[in-house]
Amino acid sequence: MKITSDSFNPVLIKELRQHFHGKLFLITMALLLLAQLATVFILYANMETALANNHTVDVMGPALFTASLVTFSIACVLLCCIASLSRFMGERINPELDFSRFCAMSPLQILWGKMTSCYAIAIYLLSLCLPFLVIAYFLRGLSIINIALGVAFAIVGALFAIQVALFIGSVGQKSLVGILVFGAIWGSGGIISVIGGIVSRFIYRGSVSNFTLPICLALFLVFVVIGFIFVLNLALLSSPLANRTMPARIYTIALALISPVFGFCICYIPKIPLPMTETMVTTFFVACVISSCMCSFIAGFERSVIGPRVQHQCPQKPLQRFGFFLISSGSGGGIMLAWIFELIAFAIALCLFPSRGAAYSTWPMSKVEALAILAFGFSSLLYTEIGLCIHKRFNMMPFSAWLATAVIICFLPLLLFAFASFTYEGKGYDFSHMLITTPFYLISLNDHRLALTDIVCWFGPFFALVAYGFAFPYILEQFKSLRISSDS
Amino acid sequence: MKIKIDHLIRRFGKKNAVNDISFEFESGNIFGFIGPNGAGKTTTIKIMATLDQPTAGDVFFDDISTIAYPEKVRRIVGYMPDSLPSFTDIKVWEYLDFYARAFGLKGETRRKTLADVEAFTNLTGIREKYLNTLSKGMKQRVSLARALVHNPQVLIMDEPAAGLDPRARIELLSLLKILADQGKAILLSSHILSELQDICDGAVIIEQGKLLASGPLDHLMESAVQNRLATAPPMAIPQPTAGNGEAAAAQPPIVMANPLIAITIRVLRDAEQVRLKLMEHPAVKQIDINSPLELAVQFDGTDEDIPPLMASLFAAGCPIVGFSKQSLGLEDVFMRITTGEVQ
Repeated sequence: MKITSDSFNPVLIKELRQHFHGKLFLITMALLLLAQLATVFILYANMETALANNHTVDVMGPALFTASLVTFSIACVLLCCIASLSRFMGERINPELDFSRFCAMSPLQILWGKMTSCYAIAIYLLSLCLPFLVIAYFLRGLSIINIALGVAFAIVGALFAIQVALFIGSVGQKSLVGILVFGAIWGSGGIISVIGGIVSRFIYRGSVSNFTLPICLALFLVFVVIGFIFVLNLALLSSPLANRTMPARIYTIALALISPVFGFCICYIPKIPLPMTETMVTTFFVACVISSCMCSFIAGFERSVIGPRVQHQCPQKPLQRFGFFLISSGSGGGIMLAWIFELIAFAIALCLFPSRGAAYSTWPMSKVEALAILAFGFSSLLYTEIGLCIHKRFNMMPFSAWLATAVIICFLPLLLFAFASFTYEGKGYDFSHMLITTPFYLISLNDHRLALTDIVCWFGPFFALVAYGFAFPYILEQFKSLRISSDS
Repeated sequence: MKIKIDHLIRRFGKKNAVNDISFEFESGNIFGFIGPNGAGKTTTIKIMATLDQPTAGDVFFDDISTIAYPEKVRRIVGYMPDSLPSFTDIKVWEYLDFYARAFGLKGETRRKTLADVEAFTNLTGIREKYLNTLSKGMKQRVSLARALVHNPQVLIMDEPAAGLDPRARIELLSLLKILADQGKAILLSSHILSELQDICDGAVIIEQGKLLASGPLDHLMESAVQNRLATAPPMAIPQPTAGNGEAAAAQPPIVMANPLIAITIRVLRDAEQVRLKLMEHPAVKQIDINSPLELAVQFDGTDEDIPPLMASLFAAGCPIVGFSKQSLGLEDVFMRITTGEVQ
């Protein structure tokens, strides 16, 4: 079959053309190659000195490997992230350039084109590094597994950074705040991936299998976050009148449903005997809490008025309408779905997870630990519900209302707690009650107060339930507005 | 295709940028969209091009709603903004190629369409240039080419001739005429009313977000005249003094109903002689000598009174080589309808 350029996404073609015409591309390529060549020359020049000082030649390979990965990461940030982000942001700021409003392309096509162009550039950059990675291998001091693991970490870091960059770009804020936020996130992600690569190489050496479980868990979480940012991005690119958060809602449901499969898979990791049922239940429990937090978070930014386009898509049978309500745009549906996830997780925590006792050894976590994790879900719900009430009562923008709520009842108590703890350090005061409206209350408990946690764990659901009572009229109003009246 | 703007409202905070506007136009017509700065033209145009959402109301292309089916509308509408972005890293042909691909054109069809559009808009010679190196006129041509690349049935253009030199403007307007002859519906916003008058079949006039008038040009002018007859205050014309200053001061000014008919008379020589002869006619209210060989006459009468007037001048031996009745222009209509207030 003949492959023509018609087979490719138009955005991919345009982005690659723009990349290759840009001066930044040439400069970055040149710097990437020069940096790696310079490393090779420096290593070669110092070889005799290193040998004379009884350093083994094993140091040479890892040094070149590290240099290659670091230059790859920097080039990735410049070309795949910052250049793509600034271009995307420019397109989004100007509605006359915004493909999502100007062309007949779907948000998925646009986002996919942007992503694949970034990935293509990342692969191109990696291919430029490959000769140096081969040299690093032949210089000794590295196994194939070490190299593969290091490269994998760097690639995952790049995927994450690209997704975050595109997200910030699609937000389309004029200020530099987005870029700074991105820089901070990428910086931490990049550092973690590079450190991970180095640590895996120097410390673990060939015994990577001992760390398979944490690596799998970390990768799973990173891909969950990447997927979440992707669906948020889709929502941002969709028309405000469309059912824009439906992909995000479906993503959270899918995440919860496939999580036991992940639990099933990690049970088959060699050398780590995990009880299958308990592991699958635990992963499902954690996924439910994560999904609940995601739903609450998105609902905090959503409008409270159901648009006519969403209304016309809605089935009119009551049960189907309720199902549609859960996955349709509007804060009410998000809150309801978050409650469903949270209640399922709550039931699992109360009924299945053991207290610290005899059965504890077979379960990955105890009831107290499960309730502590649940507190994050309930706190997210609390902020979103109060945010909805403020938004409706004081006619504030949903995002501003949510942010104000989060600042007042989460970040401010945290700051006060930190300040008080620092000021009265060592004087025997306990300020942990300040954190009662945050999910960090349980974390601040000391061991001797652990007996109280069962009581404390009810604060979260209680507050969330009270706030739900206040927000309920607004949620009901949204649900009712999905029904098409006979005269409309 | 019938384009219907139906009770369109767009609010920004407490300000009504567009306030319950309704009008219609059809394929094969060029419709001018006129209004002072800040009247709501661009907002309306952006809503029509699916770049913005209305607070209330809708725009229908036949029966397709921009609110319900913006994706379908984008295939019907070609939108030309008032300026093209200055990309430094994309060439003219790449830019057009992207939009052709984005609208689903493939293979040979895409290549042929692009070649046709480039030829029509006279871009063939500059297709390898980067966008940021183009002149304003060339950018407008690229912008028009982009709007045409998917062969839309409706063209919506926001100030397409702004900033263009006279030649580029004339060329652009002639392209629009060709497109209208091909059956496209064109909505065109512009401040150059004399040019709109030459090419438009109809016009919409808005001010402060409100619709003031819309319809075919001749209807607009007719209604503007009637509107003036009904609402304009009487106009006082000072009478020429006849030697006695006191008598002239005591004489009340002539009060007349609008409108006067404006007639331009071109003469071979002796414009002053013609002026004196004209002053003898009771229906002639004002005479201005525009140039040594041209006079502008304000005539209080009907069309049927003009031939006797001209016959009397010929009979008196006035060296007249031509005359024409001046009709009401779009600029006159605009000035009479709008108040010049801004929100």
